Amino acid sequence: MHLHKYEKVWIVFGLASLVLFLLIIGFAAFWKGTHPQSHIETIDPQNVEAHESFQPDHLGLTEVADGKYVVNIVASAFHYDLGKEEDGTATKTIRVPKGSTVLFQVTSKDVVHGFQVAGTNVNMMVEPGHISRFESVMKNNGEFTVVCNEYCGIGHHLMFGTVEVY
Amino acid sequence: MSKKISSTNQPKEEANLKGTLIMVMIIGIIILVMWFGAYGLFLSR
Amino acid sequence: MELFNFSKKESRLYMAFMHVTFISLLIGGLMGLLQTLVRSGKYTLPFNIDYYTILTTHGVILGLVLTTFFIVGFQFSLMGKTVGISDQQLLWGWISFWVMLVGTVLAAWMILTGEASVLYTFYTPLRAHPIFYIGLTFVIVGSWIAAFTNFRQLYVWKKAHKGEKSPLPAFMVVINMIMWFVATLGVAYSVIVLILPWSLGYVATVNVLLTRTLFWYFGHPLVYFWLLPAYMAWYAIIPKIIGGKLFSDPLARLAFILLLMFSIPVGFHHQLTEPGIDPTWKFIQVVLTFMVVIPSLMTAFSLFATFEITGRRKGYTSLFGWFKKLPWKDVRFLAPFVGMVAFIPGGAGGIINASHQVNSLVHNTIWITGHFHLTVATTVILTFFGIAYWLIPHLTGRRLTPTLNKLGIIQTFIWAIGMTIMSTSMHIQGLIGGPRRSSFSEYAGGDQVSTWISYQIWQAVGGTILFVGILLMFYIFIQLAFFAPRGYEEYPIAEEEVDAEKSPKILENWYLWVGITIALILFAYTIPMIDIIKHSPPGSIPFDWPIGRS
Repeated sequence: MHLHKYEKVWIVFGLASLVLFLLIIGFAAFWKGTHPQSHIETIDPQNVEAHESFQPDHLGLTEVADGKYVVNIVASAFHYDLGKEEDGTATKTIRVPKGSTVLFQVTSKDVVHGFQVAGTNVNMMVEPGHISRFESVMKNNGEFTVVCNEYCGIGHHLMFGTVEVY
Repeated sequence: MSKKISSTNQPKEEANLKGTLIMVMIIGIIILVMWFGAYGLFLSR
Repeated sequence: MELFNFSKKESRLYMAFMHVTFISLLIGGLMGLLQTLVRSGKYTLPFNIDYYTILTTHGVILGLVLTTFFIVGFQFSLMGKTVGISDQQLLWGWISFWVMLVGTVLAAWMILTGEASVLYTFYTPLRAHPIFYIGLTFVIVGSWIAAFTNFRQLYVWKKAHKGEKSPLPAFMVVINMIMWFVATLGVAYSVIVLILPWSLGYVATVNVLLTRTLFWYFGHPLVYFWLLPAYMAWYAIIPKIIGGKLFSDPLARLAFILLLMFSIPVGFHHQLTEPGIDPTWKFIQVVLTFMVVIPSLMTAFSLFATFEITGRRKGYTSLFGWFKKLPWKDVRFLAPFVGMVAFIPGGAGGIINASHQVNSLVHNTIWITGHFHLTVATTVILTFFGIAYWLIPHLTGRRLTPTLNKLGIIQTFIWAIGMTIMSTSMHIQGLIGGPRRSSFSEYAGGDQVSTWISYQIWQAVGGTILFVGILLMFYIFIQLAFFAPRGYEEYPIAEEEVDAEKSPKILENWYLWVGITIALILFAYTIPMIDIIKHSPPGSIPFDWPIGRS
């Protein structure tokens, strides 16, 4: 099959670009460990409390070491359970200092949800039966809206929270 | 369609496709710029 | 190439598909307009209509119904034109039409009565009414009937033309239908075996991740099923419209073979942020996804080369003279051309989406919506419109008059402007985190959300312009179907150069290409599928109340 010489140039250029992209993301994924979240850990969606992280007392923000935090969240239509404040009201906002490392752990009690801290790289599908985990260094100051970004029913757009990095 | 042109073995003179090369290279540059832009944004977050 | 004339009976079949296409365009377009208006925050739907009912209607009727009907009808016409259709095959064509239409009506009935607000992806464990799933099954089975009729048409032609290569359009149709059949097996299994019995209550639980994986095994080839007919027009029809010849028959076939092989084993790039899939297998499918870019790069070269060779032959020998002298005033060229331009940012955006961890930048943000409104809702649909301008009058024995041609050009401009505004604002809003598939919401308030809303107002502006474009297109369709003056409109099929290079026989070795396709699918999916089934969590019971069903 005949290829015009310029077409050869173009195909080689295109292939080289694609290989370059793959090398960059492959290096980041396999050597730097920045895979998208994929922990393949399962849970019974009808009994999430059986898992220690998702017991009511363990929900919300916990400082596990200096500058290291864990946030446990149970998602259900149309609500994120982020635990309770000291006065007993439901937590709406997670506050962490800039530069801290935060591990988000989310699971669903009912249908498929999304969990995105908008404006950061924390963006996960949350599925019944699975635990979604993503660790992120909060590099930038600001108030970030947490949105459910997978359709979960007629109240989907009312499912949100806030992460404040100060 | 049934009539076959006897194919000669000499290579056909290649068409002038300079404009085509420039056009596709512009596409290539757009792809590179967009991709590295997105990757830069990903790293900054 | 020998071309067949359409009989009246034949034209009626192809037109039937076109009628459903353009009625779908009108209904689906109206839904799109309403969505952008609701999301602007300045408008609420009347009669307590739910946003997600509108959204489901929009996705199903434009993504599944309009596309499938147009593609099946257009492909039937390509087959009829280049390899012919027998009376019996025509009958099967009608059976496929009616089965698809019955399915569409069943699904539409459930969606419009609020029994199936599950969006076009129908992710479990949200449960729609069982009739919705039955309707979808009918649409798929109807398209299979069309696929096997097309296979038969080429087979019969080949038997009568021993040793000849198949006509390029027929070859391309068969490639697309093989891809469609192999891909829809996944979603058919998911709907018929996993979801339907569960929705009827015969089975208590469903494996959510398995149904999602089977959906996306189908979901990516679905977008290529939309794109390939546009490529058919670009390769095999546009050269004729601009007064040129095919750039290269064998290269066109090679591009289609590569598209067949690499369109299917890539579904994980829609599931990159899912918890239950091994990241290494995600990455393997990312690599395969990047391979499917290559035939599109080849297509870009072929198209420009066709334009340049044609122009230079006409005497426009300066570096870009050939480009200036393209038939810009012929809507049969202009509309698909604008579609090609949209595929540059559309395709580049697609590479970003598939870039493994970088996907978290855009996953389920409205960037994705902006992306596929460039690819399917501009590239594909403008090419379909470009086809309709000559196909409809060819079928109805009318002419594309200069006035209608001018209206078509205006339509193309309206579309380009509306989509530039809507899609660009969607891309930007997505990059700053705005979600897709969501009704208007102020969330917890704050700067971030108010910035999102300002982009949503621009989307309503773009959406309104696009709806004007849809009304105009519908008017043009009605004119071409019923009122344009009687006459003859050409069915443009490009010829090869007289001294064209012979196509290697291997390009028509179907066993080889289908074999490689299946091997690649088995490679990309076997181990992760076993993992998904072996490590499956307790299944999910159905949920009706979240979508407003009691």
